[in-house]
Amino acid sequence: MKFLNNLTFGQYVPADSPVHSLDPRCKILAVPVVLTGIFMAGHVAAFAAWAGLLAALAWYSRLPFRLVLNSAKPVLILVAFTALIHIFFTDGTPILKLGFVTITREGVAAAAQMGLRLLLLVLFASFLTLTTKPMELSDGLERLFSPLVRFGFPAHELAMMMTIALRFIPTLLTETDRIMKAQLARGASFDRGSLWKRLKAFIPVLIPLFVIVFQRAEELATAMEARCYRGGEGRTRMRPLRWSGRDTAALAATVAVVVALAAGERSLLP
Amino acid sequence: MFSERITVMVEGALAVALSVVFSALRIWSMPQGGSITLEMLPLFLFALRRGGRYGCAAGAVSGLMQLLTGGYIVHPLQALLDYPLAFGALGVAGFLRDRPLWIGLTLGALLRFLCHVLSGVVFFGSFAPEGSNVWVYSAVYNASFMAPTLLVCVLLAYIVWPRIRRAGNGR
Repeated sequence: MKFLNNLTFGQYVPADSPVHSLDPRCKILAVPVVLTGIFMAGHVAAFAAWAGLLAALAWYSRLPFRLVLNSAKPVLILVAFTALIHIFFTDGTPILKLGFVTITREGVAAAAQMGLRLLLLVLFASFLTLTTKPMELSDGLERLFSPLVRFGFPAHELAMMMTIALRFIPTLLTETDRIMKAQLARGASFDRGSLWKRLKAFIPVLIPLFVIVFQRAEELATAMEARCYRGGEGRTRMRPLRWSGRDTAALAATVAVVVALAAGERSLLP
Repeated sequence: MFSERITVMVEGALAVALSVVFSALRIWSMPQGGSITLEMLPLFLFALRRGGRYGCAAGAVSGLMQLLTGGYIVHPLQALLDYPLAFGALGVAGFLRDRPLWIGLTLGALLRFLCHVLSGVVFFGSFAPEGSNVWVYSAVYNASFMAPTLLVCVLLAYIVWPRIRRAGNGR
């Protein structure tokens, strides 16, 4: 019996696509641009255009469209809730009356608009994590925030912590599983009984885990020091991030699409 | 001393990793769909061990990790509030490590709760109809999982903390 096998960590889907190979900084910067664009959309035609772009982006990233849609699963309840309060609480021309509830034309329109906007926001933002490895993202963030180092912002340290954490999640997962199994063999039961009983069963798992973590940390710190780790200053990389013309083009294209869609909606549609 | 700083940084990173592992461990599934997990516990204990500044940094890293590995973004301000700021706030517990344990932990969790409530208000501010009582929605929803989670964390912290505070080279 494995307690932790349902942990699907991260969303990254490896593929050999032009989107995957973009510089992580380009993709991080593109997210707020796209989100702004979706916020500005209001007309059905604009949403249809964004949905089309979503499908195109999925195809261009060589990701199965179903897989992209899956990333919206955690927010479906939120989408439904948002849509429902709009349907029930918007005043306007009534189209249906059920007891004390009146559904208005404006309410249905607002529900569709908000629901679609929310879905599109989440789906577009998920491309960042679908096409970029967590390590690359942390590298990208470090570089993006590096101008703030001058003002004392620990960009390198935070990115290093993320890298170490990513590296050790599988190790600690195995460790937790091992200790839980050892306790199970001694008669512990983690999934039965009252809350208090379950918590008590976890104590002999937690204490060794924390002790292991603190000891590991010391060993790792010694190992890093022995290899002359001296913080971020002057540190070089085996694979440095390279901003190429393709990244500039991709970012410019994103801005152009957002501006074109927003301007088009305002000038062409009523 | 520099080597001390590396140790603290690595310890913080491992606390973050442990918090991710704990987020997958369901201690108790609640009727309305939420569940009680121990993900705050490693961040609290690290903050108590190394103080508030490092605690907040580790919390913020943990929030960023969640964001980068599958969090959801609907609004730039919501992303900031729900992830780095909310989890960074937990580290505040480390500033009160000379007081009884529960005070720091409760304050940390309260600040995280406030971040989530604010983020909910930002979210509903752009998505809910005008005039809906956004503060109440957001507060009730967030309290429904934060309160029991905090209670469990405080209970476990009282049992675990005295036994591990001397582990490694901590104080």
